[in-house]
Amino acid sequence: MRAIQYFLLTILLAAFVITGYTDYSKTIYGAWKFNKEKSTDLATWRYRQPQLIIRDEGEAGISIVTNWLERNKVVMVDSVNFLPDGEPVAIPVTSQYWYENWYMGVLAKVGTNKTVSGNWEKQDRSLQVQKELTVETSQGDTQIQTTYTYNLDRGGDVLTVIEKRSSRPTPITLVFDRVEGNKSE
Amino acid sequence: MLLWMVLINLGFAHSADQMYVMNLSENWEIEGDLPVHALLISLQGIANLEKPRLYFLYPKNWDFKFSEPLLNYYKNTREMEFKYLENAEAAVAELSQYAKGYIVWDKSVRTSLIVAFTAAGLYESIIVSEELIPMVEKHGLKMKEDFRGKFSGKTDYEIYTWAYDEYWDKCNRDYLVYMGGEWGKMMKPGVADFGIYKKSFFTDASTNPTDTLEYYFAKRLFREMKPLSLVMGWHSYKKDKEAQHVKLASSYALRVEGLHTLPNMSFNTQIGLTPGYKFKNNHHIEPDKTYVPENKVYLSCIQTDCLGLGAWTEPGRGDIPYAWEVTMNWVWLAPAMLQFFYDESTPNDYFIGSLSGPGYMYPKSIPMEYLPQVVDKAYQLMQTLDLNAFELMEHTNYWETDGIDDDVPKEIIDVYYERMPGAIGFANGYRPAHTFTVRNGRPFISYDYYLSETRDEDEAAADLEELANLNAKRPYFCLLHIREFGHIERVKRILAKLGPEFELVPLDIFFKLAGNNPTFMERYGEK
Repeated sequence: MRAIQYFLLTILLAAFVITGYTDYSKTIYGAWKFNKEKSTDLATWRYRQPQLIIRDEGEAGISIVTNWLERNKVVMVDSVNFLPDGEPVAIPVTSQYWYENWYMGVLAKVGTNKTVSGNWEKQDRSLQVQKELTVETSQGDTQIQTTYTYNLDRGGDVLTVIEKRSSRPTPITLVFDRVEGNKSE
Repeated sequence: MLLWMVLINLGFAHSADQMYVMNLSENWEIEGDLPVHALLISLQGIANLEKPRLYFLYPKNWDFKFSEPLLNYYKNTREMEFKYLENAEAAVAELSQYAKGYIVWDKSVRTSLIVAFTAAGLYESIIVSEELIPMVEKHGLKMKEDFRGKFSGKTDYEIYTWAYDEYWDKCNRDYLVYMGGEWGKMMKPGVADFGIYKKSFFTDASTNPTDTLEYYFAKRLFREMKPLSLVMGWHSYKKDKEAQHVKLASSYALRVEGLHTLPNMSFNTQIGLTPGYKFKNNHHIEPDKTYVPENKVYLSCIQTDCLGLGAWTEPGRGDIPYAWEVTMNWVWLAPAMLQFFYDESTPNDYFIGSLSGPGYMYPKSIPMEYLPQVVDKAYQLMQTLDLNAFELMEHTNYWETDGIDDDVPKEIIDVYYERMPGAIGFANGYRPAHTFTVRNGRPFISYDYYLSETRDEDEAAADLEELANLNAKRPYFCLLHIREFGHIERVKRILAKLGPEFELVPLDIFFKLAGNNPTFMERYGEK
């Protein structure tokens, strides 16, 4: 009987070691640096790279700020703020710049609103965000629905964002490393 | 005479018609081979003054890839024979007789070399750094200018102002040379032989408005050039942006003719067309055929950024329909060189006129009183070159708009339509632009996709499929800008990933199909 107990304990320990330790004290909040090597190739202007800052805004929900960096200098900011599991929020589109891809003939439609909503799949660790945006193409205006899934790894220091656009045949994977010195909030 | 011929054949003397060729190395650093290269390129400009005598084979990594194929073309079609020069000493020994002296530049002040190029043309002299003086004095050359220590501690603005006061009045006002490009410890003055040959003023003065002194200096030079004259070379990668440079030049109706690395032009400019030669493009439109598009996604590719950069000499050319921007001024600047490209072309290589004018210009920056003249001159070149499609690029506000303002206002487009009646279509943009219209079956279509040479191939194919999904009407006309260093084999691999709905067609067919059933929305840039 004791041998069986030791055996099961060994299996459990081995499983723990193999599957890795999950640090539940860490959350998706904090600053995140883009990991180009592990991400899908991005089509940005002048090699711009995204940097994420995700904040817990308390009763105001969550904010996701995307800083676009050029030679480590912030040249463009795209931010959203919404209440997880709440109503979609409407954000006025003020720039034609379509952040997703600079190589394609697509512009964000100034004067429209983009709508953003989200829900936790795992509180503070896995978040799904839906965005709807009107864009201008050569044939006129059309809508793009995008789902972003933010997943924290077990160690809590790697954030993977899977982006699925209604218009694109393949998903885009963006990998971010936690910026050192930035503890999760 | 007989004795002279015997001496020539024995190598003890040489004919004034003797042509020479020499290899240049890959090192263009001040503390490397740049001093020798500067000497050689200045020697080329001087030795070629009366006749084409000296030609260089540039290294494999040079921007322009055609110096060797063009040399072979000359040998095969012009019956030219070249004597190979082993080194700079041999070049000086053979050709220094054509120089009236030498100019010494200061290796501790890089800009002194740029000023030395100006002086070399005016004094018909070659350029040396200090350590090369004994070599040229051995051949009897005397010093004409000595810039050692002259510009120490001075700013570029001060140096160029000195050069302006000293030389500007004597310089050619048809050609200004921007000796920009690489900066710091390096310089790649490929086009300097031509500037010397034409007695041009050389500079790299900043066209960035925040560099106040140099900016106003550049404006002064541009203002004092003849309208529609050429700004050859290229802007400095350190000081300003391409868009600032071309914007300022265009605002004085000047035509930019890149690059600083354009090789052998003092030689090439003297080689004419073969007798009776007429430029013949590879057209695809059958005169009596009506082109009706099907419910497909039509793609067409344009390779930009000048002939001879990148893909032309690489494998795959001729395998798929491809349109090539023609550097139209080469027809009078270097006729045989342009004939070389036409002669080498395959039925799939379709040439188009570019870029916004008779040279590289931005339409919104060109003063309206000059625009008709600019368009007329471009159209004349198109007719000589058998071109019936034209391309515009508009980056006047590019840097103020995060690279998304590539659009052309209606009143400017009207001028192109009116004054280029034989143009079957117009392409526009660099990155995707958003100006579209059609007049009597002649479309004006902006690029819908920019294929970067570094874009992941699977992602590029996904980009094109996404564009086809976003532009859901059929037919959908998607014009592709292929960046100059993107090779055709790569483009073929990307297009092979697309579904059967996609069809690649030659640009002239693309224009005809789009003109007959335009599904894009009419849209213009703002004034």
